[in-house]
Amino acid sequence: MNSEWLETASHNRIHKSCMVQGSSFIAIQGDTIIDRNCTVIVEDAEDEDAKTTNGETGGRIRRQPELKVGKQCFFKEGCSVNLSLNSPEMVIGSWCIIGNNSVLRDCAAIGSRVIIGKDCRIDADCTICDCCIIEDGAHLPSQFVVPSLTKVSKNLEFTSLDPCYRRLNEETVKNELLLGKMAW
Amino acid sequence: MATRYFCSCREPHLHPKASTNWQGLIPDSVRDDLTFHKLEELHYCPTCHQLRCPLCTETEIAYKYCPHCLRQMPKKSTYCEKSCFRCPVENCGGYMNVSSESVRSEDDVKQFLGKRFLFTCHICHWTYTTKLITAPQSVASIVHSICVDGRTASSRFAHLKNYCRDKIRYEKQLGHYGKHKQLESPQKPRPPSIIPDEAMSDSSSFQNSSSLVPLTQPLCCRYKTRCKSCRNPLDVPSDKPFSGKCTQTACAIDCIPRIVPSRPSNVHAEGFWVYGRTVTVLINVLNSYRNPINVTISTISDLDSFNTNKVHFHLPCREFKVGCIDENSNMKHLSDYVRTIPTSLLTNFSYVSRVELTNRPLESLEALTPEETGDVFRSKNGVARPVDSGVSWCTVAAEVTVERGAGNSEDGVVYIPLFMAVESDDGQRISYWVKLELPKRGR
Repeated sequence: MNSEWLETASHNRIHKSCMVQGSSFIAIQGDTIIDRNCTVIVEDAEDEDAKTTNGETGGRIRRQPELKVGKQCFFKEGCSVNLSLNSPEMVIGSWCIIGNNSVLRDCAAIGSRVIIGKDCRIDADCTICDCCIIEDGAHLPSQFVVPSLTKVSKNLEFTSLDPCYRRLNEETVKNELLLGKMAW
Repeated sequence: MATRYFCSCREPHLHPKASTNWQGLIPDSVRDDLTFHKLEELHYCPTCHQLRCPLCTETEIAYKYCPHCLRQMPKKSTYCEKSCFRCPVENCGGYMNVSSESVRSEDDVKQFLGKRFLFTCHICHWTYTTKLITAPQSVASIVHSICVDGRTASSRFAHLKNYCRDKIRYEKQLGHYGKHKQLESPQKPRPPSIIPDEAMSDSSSFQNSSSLVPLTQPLCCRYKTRCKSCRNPLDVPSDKPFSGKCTQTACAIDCIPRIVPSRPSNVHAEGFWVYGRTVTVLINVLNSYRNPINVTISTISDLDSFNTNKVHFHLPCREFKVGCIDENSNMKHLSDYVRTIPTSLLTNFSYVSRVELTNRPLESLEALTPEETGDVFRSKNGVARPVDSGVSWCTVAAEVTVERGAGNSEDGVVYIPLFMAVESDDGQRISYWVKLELPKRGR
């Protein structure tokens, strides 16, 4: 095992240069790689309450947000996943790739077999359904919804994908996790 | 680097008298680049037993849905009939939050007068309030009526629509009048003026934010695919827009073996070939079908017509069997999935891949790292054998020699057409052409 990596019991690999905050509220199913310089932050409700004046929250009980990640996902180098107290939870499905330097902030849900390209920005309350491809540099504004089997261009134009992309996206993610490249 | 698969739909139909010995001829369209496609673009028709490219299939709308609320809509609709609206402000396009407020009489608070709907963009905070709505109707129809009343383009369209309707009615009445002369002659409708007087003033006011109204959300479609030849459905989507599943699929990727070229792992060249040298290329055949398959590969002796360079291709092992993935095996675990990857494609990137490489038979690893060109070919009793094989894949070795063609042209890619004949154990047969693209640079 390379010393640059931390490996959990469920075979998740996290590079030591990553910044992970609120790990108690992050559940990753297994076989996931979090690559170099990634940032995964889940705000802690108790910490936030302590920051407010004498712990007073005006009688409002804050709900602790949670980040749930499916199995065999790949968080590529420099990507960032932030979950603030404004969002109840973020669910990322299985076989997903979050591209280099992409930023996910308070998303509602990302389905399974979703490939997000480089330098993308996914804003609050966005929903991406299963088997989608988000092209490099796309910026999804808040509350944006991407239906399943859809390719989203940089200009937010939708293109329908064939059903074979269900298998193709899954294979792409598995090959990237195993071989570090797309084998075919 | 890619492998393209042939679809015969562009092949011209032979005239019965054109040639007496047409069997065994190479199709003319094999030389046409447009007849080759990526495997993910193709369908396999189980009735015709043929690969079908997008031109050989036709699509029909299975259903329409709103891409925002993901509700199914009637096929005749073009816009979401629920409360999905987008901000009309330029470069915003955010979704509108819709809320309503009840309006009551000032004299009698109990007297309900109607409702006003408030639209707020959550990105630019642009707002719009409707006039008092007294009769119950959907928000979509309220916005639609505002659009028709307020916009020049919409009202112009409404005028044209009314004119067309009147004209159709007039022509029908005119035919009726010809038969029954005693009837009163119909009045010809007047077309609306080409440039309405109010158009200029209204178009300038259209840019004003006060004249903007929320935009309705156009619908998306989910399509059903059919084979043009037998008319049988190939892809039938599920009725849930948020699901990527299909009730029926006939993707070529699920049944046609994939051909992936690679180089022996001890060759540190940048590409697949070098001018003036004979190099070894590994051809990996990956079976996605549910049964084992027998593969026969043939090629053309005259490869010069496909390339600007002089190319010689030698493939000793032309017939072999490829196993299949057990239907009951769970390929969800990476340690299971890695078994379906040929040895020549494995890398040291991950722990699972490294472990799998060490578990592969030593004989295979030695065969895939030959000392010299020619060592890679294995034979038993004079019959060439695949260099390596696994659960659902097989690797055969070939030699490629490239020499500069006429005019010293520098083409970076060598094209090798291969004819694949595949027969599965359950009796299914298919034959098709593939074109290997071997780049000089990049693996």
